[in-house]
Amino acid sequence: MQISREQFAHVGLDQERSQAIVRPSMTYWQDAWRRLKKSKISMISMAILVLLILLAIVGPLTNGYTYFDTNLTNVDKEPSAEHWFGTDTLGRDMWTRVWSGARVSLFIGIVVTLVESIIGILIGGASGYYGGKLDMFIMRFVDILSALPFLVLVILIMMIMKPGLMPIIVALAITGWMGKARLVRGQVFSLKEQEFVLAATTLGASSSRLILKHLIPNCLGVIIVSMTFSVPANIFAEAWLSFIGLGVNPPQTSWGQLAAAGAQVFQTKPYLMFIPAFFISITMLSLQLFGDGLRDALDPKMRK
Amino acid sequence: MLRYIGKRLVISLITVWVLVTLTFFLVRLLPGDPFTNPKMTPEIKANLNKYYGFDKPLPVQYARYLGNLARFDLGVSMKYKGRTVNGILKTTAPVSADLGIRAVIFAVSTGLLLGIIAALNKDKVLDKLTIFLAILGVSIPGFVMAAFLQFIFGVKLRWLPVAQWMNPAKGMGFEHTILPTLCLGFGTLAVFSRFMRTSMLEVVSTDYIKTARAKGLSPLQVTVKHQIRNAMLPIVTMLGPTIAALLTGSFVIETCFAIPGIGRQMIIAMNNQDYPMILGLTIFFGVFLIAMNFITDLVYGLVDPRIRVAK
Amino acid sequence: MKKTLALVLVVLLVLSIGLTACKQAETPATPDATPTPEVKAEPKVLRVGADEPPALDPQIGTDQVSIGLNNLLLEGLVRIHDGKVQPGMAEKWEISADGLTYTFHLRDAKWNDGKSVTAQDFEYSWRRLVDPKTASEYAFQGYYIVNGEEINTGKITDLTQLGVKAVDEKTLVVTLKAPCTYFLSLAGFLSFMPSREDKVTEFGEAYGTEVDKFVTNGPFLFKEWTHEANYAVEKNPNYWNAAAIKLDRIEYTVVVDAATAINMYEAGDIDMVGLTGNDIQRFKDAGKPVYDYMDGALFYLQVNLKGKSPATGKFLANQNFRLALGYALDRQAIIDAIMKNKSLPGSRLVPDNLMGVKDRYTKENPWSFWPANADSAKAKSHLELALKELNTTVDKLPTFELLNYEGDRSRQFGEAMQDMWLKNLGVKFEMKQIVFKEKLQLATNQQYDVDFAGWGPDYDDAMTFMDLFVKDGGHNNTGWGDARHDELINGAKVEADPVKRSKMMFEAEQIVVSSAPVIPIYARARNYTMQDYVKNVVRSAMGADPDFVYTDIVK
Repeated sequence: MQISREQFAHVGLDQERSQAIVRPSMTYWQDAWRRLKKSKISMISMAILVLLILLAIVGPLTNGYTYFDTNLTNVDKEPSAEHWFGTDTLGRDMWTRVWSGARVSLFIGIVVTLVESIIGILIGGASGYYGGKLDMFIMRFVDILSALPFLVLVILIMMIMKPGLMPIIVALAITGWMGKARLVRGQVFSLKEQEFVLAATTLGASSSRLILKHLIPNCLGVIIVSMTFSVPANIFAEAWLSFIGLGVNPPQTSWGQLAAAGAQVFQTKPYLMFIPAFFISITMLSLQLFGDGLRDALDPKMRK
Repeated sequence: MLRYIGKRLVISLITVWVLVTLTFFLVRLLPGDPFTNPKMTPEIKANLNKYYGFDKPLPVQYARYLGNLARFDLGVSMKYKGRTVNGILKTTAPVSADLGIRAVIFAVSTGLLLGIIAALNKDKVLDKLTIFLAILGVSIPGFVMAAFLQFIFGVKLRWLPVAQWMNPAKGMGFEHTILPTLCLGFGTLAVFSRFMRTSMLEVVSTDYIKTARAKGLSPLQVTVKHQIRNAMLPIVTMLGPTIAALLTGSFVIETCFAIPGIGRQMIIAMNNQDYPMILGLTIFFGVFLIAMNFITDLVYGLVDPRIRVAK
Repeated sequence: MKKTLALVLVVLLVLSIGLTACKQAETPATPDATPTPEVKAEPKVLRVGADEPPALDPQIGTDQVSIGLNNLLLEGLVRIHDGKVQPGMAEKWEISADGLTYTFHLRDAKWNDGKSVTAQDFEYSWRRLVDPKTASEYAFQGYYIVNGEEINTGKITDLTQLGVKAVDEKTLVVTLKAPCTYFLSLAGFLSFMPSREDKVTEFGEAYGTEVDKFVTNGPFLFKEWTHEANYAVEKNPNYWNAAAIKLDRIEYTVVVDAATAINMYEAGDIDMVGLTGNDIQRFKDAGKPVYDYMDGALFYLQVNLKGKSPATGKFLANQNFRLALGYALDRQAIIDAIMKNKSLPGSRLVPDNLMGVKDRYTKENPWSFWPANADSAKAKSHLELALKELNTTVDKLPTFELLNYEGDRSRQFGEAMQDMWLKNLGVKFEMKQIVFKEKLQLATNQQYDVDFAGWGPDYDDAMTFMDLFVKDGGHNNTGWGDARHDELINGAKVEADPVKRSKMMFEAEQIVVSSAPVIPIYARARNYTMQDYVKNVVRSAMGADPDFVYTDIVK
């Protein structure tokens, strides 16, 4: 078959159409969200986390008891229709205490982790990016701060602040950001020598743009994993701080405190430990799985 | 390189000095003092203050402390009367270090292995199994795990001793190390497995892995020669502080297993406001941590030739 | 290549620290050159859990662990066993008619290195106790002796002025400042046990820190001490009363965690263990023996009459308000829920197990002020009186602060009391739970409203609780004071007639308890279990607890 020139028509250069964007333009975050939505496990995990938060909000209001209402004639009762999670040593309703404790633990777990991560990322990022003297100074500061006895810091913080949530957040954030800073710094060291950074620099990207848009997104994988581990660490640290009096004011409680108190009687009253421990584990599991999905979604290298 | 190391050593010394100074004055800000006890009278307290030199102005005490420190004399404990801080460190630190090394070896090797397995089986059953293990590792606190393992293996099954550290002279051997090593290492194992998995997955999409594949290397060779090695960076970053943390003992594990280690000393010292012990332990931990971070910075350059911390 | 190097470096890093650990294995516990005599078929060995002894030097040690171990290793002029005075290094003694001079006659006894125990050893040790240079925390135990306080506070620098004289090698004369009915029981206390001048000089501060840096004269010999891990004592065949000593060896394991100790007991590693809370019932349910005893400690609330601020102080200074707080508490219910044992509701200041004239003080002076259960009607009427006196109403009450120890159990106590005050009175309390030392400091500085505190007896006499609330006394942190009360206490301290003295103390007790600067909560009972083959372990409120000196094992 012969194809002749006449069969073709010259359409010319259509300026407009060549500029048209066929696929909708997506920012990095839109793209990440789209990919996150595709992951079934991530969405289930997120649903569980939302459910736990909802229960923390409404749970203490559902059965007519309060977290501080003692009843010394009804102590150490196993879970029943009246007390869904049983009662504790002072006859308080455990269902109410577990969910009012969830408020404290989830709040501490999430807020402290966010605060310490932000501090850690910014300081670690700057330290790794600029290197040299600044890095040396920051890292020695980190060394000193991490070597100072934790308890000394905590007691000093407690002396200048009123007991409650604030001193815990301060104490945990002050002592928690260093690990993340070191981690980010190490990653940035490696990333800043890579080609895409060179490319961005050549294109005239500013330092802050480089750190925020290129280096940190590429560190997010390890940061997210590190964050998923910080949440339980902070929940338990709160319990320990409460033990020495820095924590929430009794009779208010937390998951960590409930689990710690339950662990002492686990041979005789196992439910006092297992119920709070179960919810801590479920939270951790959802966070890890959600963290995995988030990591995949945020990884710039997997962007298509 | 040698110049860099020299410079770092000098800076490390300054860091330790700042640490000592800060701690020295911060502990004095704590409410109460080593002699605060319900039965104390002011006259007897005056005698004690004189005995320990606390009647002198603080700068004088500080100068004297630094002088002794320069001779590596950390003073005498105020809780364990008459025992030198050096002596206590010497008897307790090796026990914690011994346990710590076992935990590091167990946790890091198993953790990395699990992380690699998880990464290679991403989103498959094996991957999810390691997640569950990691959840157990971090959401069960050490004292719960210790109580549990003691109860099951020590009391019920009688397979392993409940507590006490090994002491060959008394016929207490390796079996005494198993439960504490498991308990101490479990959390770290979980953390390392998760980090290794993530790090492996980060590396898998980089250009050099694609290049290696394109060169026709077998998947095994790619994994071993390129993927794992390049995924080690965050692991190396964490290894320094992790080793420092595990080798300097754990209050919880040592208390639960009645292990004569250094980890519980800080809490004892704090409870008694045993100033010389608090300072001695801080210096010990500090030097250890600084050394570990120093080594980490050196190792960076070796793991990833592109990194040069030394500039 | 470089990466292999990195791995090698990491491995080296691990190994280099490993070397330190390996060294440790080479220094095992001091091997025992002469093990127990091989004569007996089965040596009687008792295995117990304990803490690390902080100070074995008798003039320095103050803690329960050092007291317990030295009860076996050392012996004072007398031995206190089950609250009774037995002859110790002194085989007999005379007390002068005015009760001021004690003459002790020492028996022939040897230190573990073969030297004789002499009156000079005691003279030296007691002088050492009050010598300000020794800086003994328990120097106040020597204040009963003539010039003891003066020497310790630096008013007299000549140690020989102390009222203790070695007349010859076997005779010691002690002169007291004022008659003291319980001096003999004091003389058996740790602070008055002997140390030896030559060894103290040789080892200095390190005296009593190692097996070979200590000399002993008691029923047991110090055999092993691996710091923080374990220690052991063995029967002293040369002890003057060796026939009464049944155990061949006691092995102590350093274990501080209560749950671990219980697990060790259940695994058969130790022969005796303390029980608390739910474990008491668990052992009873399993058909195992559970023993209890009163440990002499009283827990109480002390009220700061000045308050943390004037707003709270206004109420706390009001006696009716304080009485309302006390009546609102259901002591028995708290004990049943939290302690789950035979602890007694605090009805008065002096616990049951202290000596009076011939019998227990509380038996000779029966009285009960606070009811075991809450009396909310009485509490409310006292509150109304208080509000009327202060010309205010319930809704204007400020929130008060309850100062509390760290720890789960004291938190539960605080929470129960908070709720009772809220329900029975409508008074709101906020709990401040802090570390022990800081709490003591705040109490001393009077920076609190109400403080949950405890006190244990120092000697077997009601006075050990009675002189706590003397106005401006070293231990009164309440700001409360009463002239008549102080007059009675100070009078009782120098009163020679024991019956009169007891009456004076009783009147003072009624004054302080009924005006409620101190609100007793409970007198503590403790529980423990032990293997059936362990016999004759003595638990007591004073001195060594547990006392293993005459313990036997019958298998």
